[in-house]
Amino acid sequence: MRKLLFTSGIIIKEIIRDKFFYFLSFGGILFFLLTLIFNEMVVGEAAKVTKDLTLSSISLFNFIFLLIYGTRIISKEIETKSIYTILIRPFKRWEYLFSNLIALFISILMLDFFLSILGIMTIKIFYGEFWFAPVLKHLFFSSLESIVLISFVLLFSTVFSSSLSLILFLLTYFIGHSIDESLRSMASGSGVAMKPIVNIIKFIMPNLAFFDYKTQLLYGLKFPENIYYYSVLYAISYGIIIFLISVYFFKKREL
Amino acid sequence: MFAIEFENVSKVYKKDFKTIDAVRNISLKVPVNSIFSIIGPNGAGKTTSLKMITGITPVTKGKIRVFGKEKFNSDTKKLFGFLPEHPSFFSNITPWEFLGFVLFTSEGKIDKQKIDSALERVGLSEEKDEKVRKFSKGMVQRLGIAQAIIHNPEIIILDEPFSGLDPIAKEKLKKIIFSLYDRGKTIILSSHNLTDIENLSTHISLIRKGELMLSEDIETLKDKAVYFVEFRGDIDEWETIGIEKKGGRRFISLKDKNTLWRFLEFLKKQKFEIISVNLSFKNYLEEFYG
Repeated sequence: MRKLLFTSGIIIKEIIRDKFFYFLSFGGILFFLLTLIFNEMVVGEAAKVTKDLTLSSISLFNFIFLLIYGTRIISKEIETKSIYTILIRPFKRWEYLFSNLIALFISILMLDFFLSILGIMTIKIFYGEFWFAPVLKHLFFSSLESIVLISFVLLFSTVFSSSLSLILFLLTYFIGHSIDESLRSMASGSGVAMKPIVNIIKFIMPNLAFFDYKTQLLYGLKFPENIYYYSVLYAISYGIIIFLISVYFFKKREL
Repeated sequence: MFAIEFENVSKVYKKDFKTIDAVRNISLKVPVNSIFSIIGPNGAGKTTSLKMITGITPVTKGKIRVFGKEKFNSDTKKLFGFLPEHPSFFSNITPWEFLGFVLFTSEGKIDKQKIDSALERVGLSEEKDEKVRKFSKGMVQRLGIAQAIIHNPEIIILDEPFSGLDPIAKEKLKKIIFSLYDRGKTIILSSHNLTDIENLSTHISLIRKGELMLSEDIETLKDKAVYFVEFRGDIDEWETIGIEKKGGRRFISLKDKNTLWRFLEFLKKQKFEIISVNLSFKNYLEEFYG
C-alpha cells in the first residue's frame, strides 16, 4: 500500500507540474474575472449568475482536465515507452493503474478546491454572501462524477491510443449527461422509436445526471437525503466495474 | 547455477492485425557473473527477449528461469535493473525524485546517499533538481543507467545501451559495465553493433529473425577470431597478399598466432611502424548476420 501511495505521489507531481495544469489554474482565475465583467451587464441577478458559474466552472474544468490530460495518461506512457521503467519496478500492473486513478482523483480535487475558493471569495467580496454549503455539496457530487469518469479515462487510455481515447471520452461524457434527459422526454411520449436503443445504452453508459444537482443547489431546493447514499453507491460500484475491466485489458496488453 | 535460462522459449504477438513470430524456440543459459551480449540485426527479437526476461511481456511458449526459479513475482523484479532502448521518464519530475521512486519501490525507503552517489556516477549531480523534460538525449540515457543500477540489482539488463552515445560516453558506460561485472553482477545487453560489444562481452549470442544462430563464450569465439594488424610501410607486392591500403596506413588480417608473430618480426626487420594489433571475431559473427 505504501508503494502504491508513493507512486501516486510521483504521478501527482508529474500532473500538477505540467504546463497544462498551470494553464487550467490560470484559466480558472481568468474565468472568474470574466464572470465579474459579465455580471456588470446583468441587471438584478448578478449574484445568482456568479453562483451558477462557480458551480459550472468546477464541472467544466474537470471535464477539460480529464479530456486533455486524463485521456492520455496511460497511452502516453505506452507510446513513449516510459512505462517500461515503471513496470520493471516490483509492483503489479493493477497497482500502477490504481496509482494513476488515485493521482487523477487527487489532482482533480486540488483543482476543484482552488476553483471553489475562487468562487466563494468572489461571491463574498462582491455580494457579501458566504455561499459555502452549496459549493461543498457540489464538490461532493462532482468528486463522485470524477470517480466514474476517471475509471472510463483509464479504460480508454489503457486500451486505445491517445486520440481515440479522447473521442471515446467525449462520447461517454455527452451520452452520460444526456441519457437522463432522453429517458424523461421518452416518458412524456416523444422519441418512442428510440426507446429500445436508449434502454440498452442506459445499462452500458454511466448516467451522469446522478451527480448533477446544480439547479437544486442554486435555488436552495431540497432533495432527498438518500440521494447522497445512492450517488456514492452508484459512483463506487460503477468505478470498480470499469476499473476491473481496465485491469483485465491492461494485463492482456502487449507492451 | 545460471542467472537466466531460456528453455524452448517462443513469443508470438499480434500487431496491426498481423501475427508476428518475434522469438522462435530459443534455449540459452546466461551464467552468473557474466557480460552476456545478445546481438543481431534490427528486428531480430533481441528487445522482445529482454522484455520477456524482465516480465514486461509474457512468454507464449517455453520457460524462463531466474536463478533456477520459474515463478515470477515482485521479489523476482527486485533482482533486475533495466535500461530500455530509448529510455523515457516522467518529464515533470527531477532525476533525484525518480531515483527516489526506484529506491522506494524496491527497498521500501529512500536512501539519500545512494541517490547522490548514483547521480554522481553517471555525471548528473549538477542536474539533480532539473526537470527531466529539459534533459538532452545523452542525459536521459545516463539517468536510465542510474535507475537501472541504483538498487544494486543482481541482473542488469541493458537494451541497446550504446545507441546515441558519443565515443567518450560509450567508454564511460563500458567502465561502469566492467565495474558491475567486477562486483559479481550479471549483465545482459543487446546490440546491433558488433564493434560496441566485441571487447566487452564474456558471452555472445546471436539472434536472427527470432532464431538463435549461435551462443558461445568468448574463449571459444577467440579461437575463431582473426588478428588485425595496422602499420605503415610500402612494398610493391603488398596488394597481392591481401593487404588493404587506406591513405598512408596498411591493414592485414591474419588467422593464427604463428603467422602473426612471423609477420610482426618481418615488419620489425623492415623498420615499418606498427600502429596496432587487435584480435577480432567480428568477421566470424558477421557470417551469421545473413
